[in-house]
Amino acid sequence: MRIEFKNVLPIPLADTPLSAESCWKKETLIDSGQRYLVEAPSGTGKTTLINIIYGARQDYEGVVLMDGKDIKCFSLDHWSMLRQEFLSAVFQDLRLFPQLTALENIRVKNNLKSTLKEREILSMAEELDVAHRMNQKCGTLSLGQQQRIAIIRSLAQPFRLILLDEPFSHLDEVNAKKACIMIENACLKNEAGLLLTSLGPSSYFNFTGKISI
Amino acid sequence: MLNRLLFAHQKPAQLIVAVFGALIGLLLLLGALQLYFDFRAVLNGNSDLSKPQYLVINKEVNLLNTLFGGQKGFTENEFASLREVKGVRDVAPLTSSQFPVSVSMGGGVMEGMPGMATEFFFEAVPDNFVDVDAEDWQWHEGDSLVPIILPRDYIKLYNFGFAPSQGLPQMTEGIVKLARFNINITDKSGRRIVYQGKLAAFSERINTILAPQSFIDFANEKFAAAKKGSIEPNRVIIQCEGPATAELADYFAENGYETSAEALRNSKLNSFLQVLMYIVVAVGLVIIILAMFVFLLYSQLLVSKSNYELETLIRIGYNYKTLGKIYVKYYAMIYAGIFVVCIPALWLPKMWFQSYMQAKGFELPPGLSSTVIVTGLCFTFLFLAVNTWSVFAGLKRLAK
Repeated sequence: MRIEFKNVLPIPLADTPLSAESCWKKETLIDSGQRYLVEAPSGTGKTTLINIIYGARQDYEGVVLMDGKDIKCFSLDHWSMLRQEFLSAVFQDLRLFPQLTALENIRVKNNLKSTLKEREILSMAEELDVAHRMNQKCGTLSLGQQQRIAIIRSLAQPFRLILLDEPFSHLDEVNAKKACIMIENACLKNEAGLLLTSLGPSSYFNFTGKISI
Repeated sequence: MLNRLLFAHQKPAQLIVAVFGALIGLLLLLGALQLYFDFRAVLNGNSDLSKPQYLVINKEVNLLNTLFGGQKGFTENEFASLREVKGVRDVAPLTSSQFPVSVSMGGGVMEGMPGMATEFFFEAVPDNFVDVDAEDWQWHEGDSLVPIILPRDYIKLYNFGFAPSQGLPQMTEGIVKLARFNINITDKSGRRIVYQGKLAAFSERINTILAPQSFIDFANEKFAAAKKGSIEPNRVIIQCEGPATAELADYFAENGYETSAEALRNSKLNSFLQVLMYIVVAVGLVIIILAMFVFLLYSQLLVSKSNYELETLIRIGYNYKTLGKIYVKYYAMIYAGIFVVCIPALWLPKMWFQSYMQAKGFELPPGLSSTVIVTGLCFTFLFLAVNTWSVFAGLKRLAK
């Protein structure tokens, strides 16, 4: 999967001065086989970049091509297909359902493509040290626990590119490492690439590319 | 699990109000329709709404006619425009006999009756306007027996008015039908021709003495004095598609035509009922439309209250159509429930009403009218269609 940014500028950033190496207003290629780090201070449009790729916002100038096709022309049906089989994401605001249990939150996603077996979900939870919280309502979990649930959920689908929007911001070093390995393995299994946003330099993955904003 | 997300912010009270509104609206609307159909059936005297009704009309006789002579008949134009009036199926003139005729009887079967004779007249209408078996109502040139139809009122007049005062026995219709009498016609040259008369039937349809059209045509041709110009018929019989309509009554009034008030009273009652039904149907419609709005608001509220859940589901890959279908299924079940409750809620009172009316001597068509059921179904589907549209529009907005 090739994602090309051609002269893209999010409308909210129109009045903000851009740095010389910023990816906005330029030609940028994101290849689903690679691992990208998007490193920038907050407020420069990291989440916007992820949302544009994920089809969650369209308020930008320029053109984004996915495998040569303008993503603004994709139908809603096409987007839901992409989000089920090609694009996965851990959102910065997690987007869990507080009234469902941790396990149910993962199931809601997993039901779409039945990617993981119940047993696999539980062993992943075990690995990230949230197995004992699986039947607890998500709303009552700590942010760190919620973040781990969101990571497991993002792996409960096939994908070619996983978008990780500051996925370890509430995790301690040990758990972040474990989650990192889990994502790494899933990427290998899916032959997928990843795109991680971070406030500062990150050493979690062996990045092959860097996108500046 | 999905249901728990989609209906997370459901307010049962609102749903109950909406369901009650829709139920009451639908009941009122369908109940009014059903009552209207039932009453129309009763008014028409039978349950067959399509059975034609007959009206005999004439022009008003006023002082001018009397003083200056020449009761005006119905012209060809008037015939043509009568045929155009809504609800009129056929129009025919009443042909009256143009020759002096008397009827006499005495002796024979009517032993004990005094011989009697009276001046008489006949009128004729085309055979298809007559409610007598065709074989009893035939006359061909050369036949000496002429069938006659008398208004049923005549035998009542005799039995309850004339007979008691004269000390005569009362007679049944059967006995009267056995009677033979002489029809004495005096032709233009003063010659007397005698035919045998026989009562074929008593009629409530046409208030006159009827002889077959073929006989009257023949006799007018043969016996009547020279015609004074063309003779326009004074009375006209009208076959209506159903009970006389208000339009017909208005048309008569405008043109100065008279008919028996009884026939038109039904038309007035009918139009009164129609107005009444319109009012109840209108009230039912208003309630239904209000209920539809409540449902619309309810479904929009449900979608907007579950904004986060829906948006997130779409975000993680759910198709908005999949989610919409869950809502639509839910509303379909509610509406089907309303319809299913509505039918026995109308049917049971109808059963009771039917037996009540039957005890009073009115025959109602059994069960619910199919129009009522179809109307109910239509509204159920309309509700669902409107709601489906609103749900999908809301979800699509979220998905974008």
